[in-house]
Order: sequence, then structure tokens, then C-alpha cells
Amino acid sequence: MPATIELHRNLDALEPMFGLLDAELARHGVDDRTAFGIKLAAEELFTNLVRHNTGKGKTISFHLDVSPDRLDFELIDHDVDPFDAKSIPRYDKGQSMADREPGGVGVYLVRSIVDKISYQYENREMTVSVTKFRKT
Amino acid sequence: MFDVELTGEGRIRMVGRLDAAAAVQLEQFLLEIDSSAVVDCEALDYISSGGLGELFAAQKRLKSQGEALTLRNLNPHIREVFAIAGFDAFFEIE
Repeated sequence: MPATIELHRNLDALEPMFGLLDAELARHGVDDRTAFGIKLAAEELFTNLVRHNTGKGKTISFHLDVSPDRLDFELIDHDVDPFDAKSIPRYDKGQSMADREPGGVGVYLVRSIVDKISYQYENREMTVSVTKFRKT
Repeated sequence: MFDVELTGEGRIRMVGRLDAAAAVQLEQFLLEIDSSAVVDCEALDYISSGGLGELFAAQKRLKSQGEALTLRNLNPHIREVFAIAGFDAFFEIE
């Protein structure tokens, strides 16, 4: 049974989101490294929805499902305009300090840490789905 | 919860969870730093791109003035985030 929380579309909502993550990941005995990664992915993707999506939506639904072999979460942003995640600047890890501009590192981290990520837009809802397999 | 403080002798101490909301607090703090400093991360539990970005911006500014931040006592997960992002190339990490 997934744990679910409705989050306001602002950064203050990170506190209850981390609260749910900490409780659920501890309850299921998720190891520290995996827990760190899933919290990072959830924060980065939630923050991107808050910053980049436009529309009338006031809340984002967060569903977390922890099973013995995998962790899945979904962020559903309600009543928002379409947004192309590919429009976020591509992160170039090899850039020098002088050339580097802010932006893109969050998505790069998420893609490096999780096993699957997908975006779906339908009926004015943007759904981001993430899977990370648990190492045995 | 996140906190950052100057502990004396050019040392900065960060505590707790450095997420996107806390990064605003770190940005304001680092704007006041204008010389080399050691950043003690022993009590820092978590970092995301918001915190990385603020540390990077401060390092870029300081290095242009011949100064630098040195990071100390990063936990393994935070160190891994620096490595994945390639930010370990921009900081001396002790």
C-alpha cells in the first residue's frame, strides 16, 4: 500500500515530504545509501515541478511504494500546463569552473542515481514516475 | 532542519539537511565570506543540487579573488554526490 501525501506547490512542502520519506524508508529498513538517493531524487523532481510548471494547480500528490526489491514514487502535478523536461539545460560534467552555469545538475543527479524515470502528461496532469531497485 | 555558522579561525560548520529551501539560508551566509575557509560537514546529513549550487557559486567567487573553501568530513553519501556531479574537481576535500 503506497504512502501518500498532498504537498503545496512551494519549497516549504519539502519538510512534510522528507517527513514521510524518513518514516517510510526507516519502517521498511531501507539502507542509508538507497534512502539518500531516493530522497535526493524526490526533492530534485518536486523542486523542478514547483519551479518550471505553470498553471492553476495548488498541490502536488506524492505516492511512495516500498517493496522488498524496489522503491517506486510518483509526483502528480495537478492542473498545470505542458512542460518539456528536455528544455532543462543539459548538464556537462566536464565543464570548467569558469564556463559552468547553474542549472541541470539536479536532473543529472537523479538520472545517475535512479534506475527508471518517466514523464507523462494527460488531462492537465504531469506525472513523474521513478523506480530504484534495492540491492540485495 | 539546517544551520550554518562561523565557528572561529576561518571555520564554517554546516548542520542538518541542506535542501533547496535551506540553500537560500546558505546563500545569504556565504555572501558574507570573503576569505579562505574550512567548511566542516561532519554534522551535515544531506545535500541536493541547491546546496551544491550555492557552494559552487561561493567557490567560484572566492577563487577569482585567490581564496577558496576547503570541505572537510563529508559523509560518504554527500561525497558521492560531489563525485557524480563532478564538483569534487572544484574543491579541496579533506
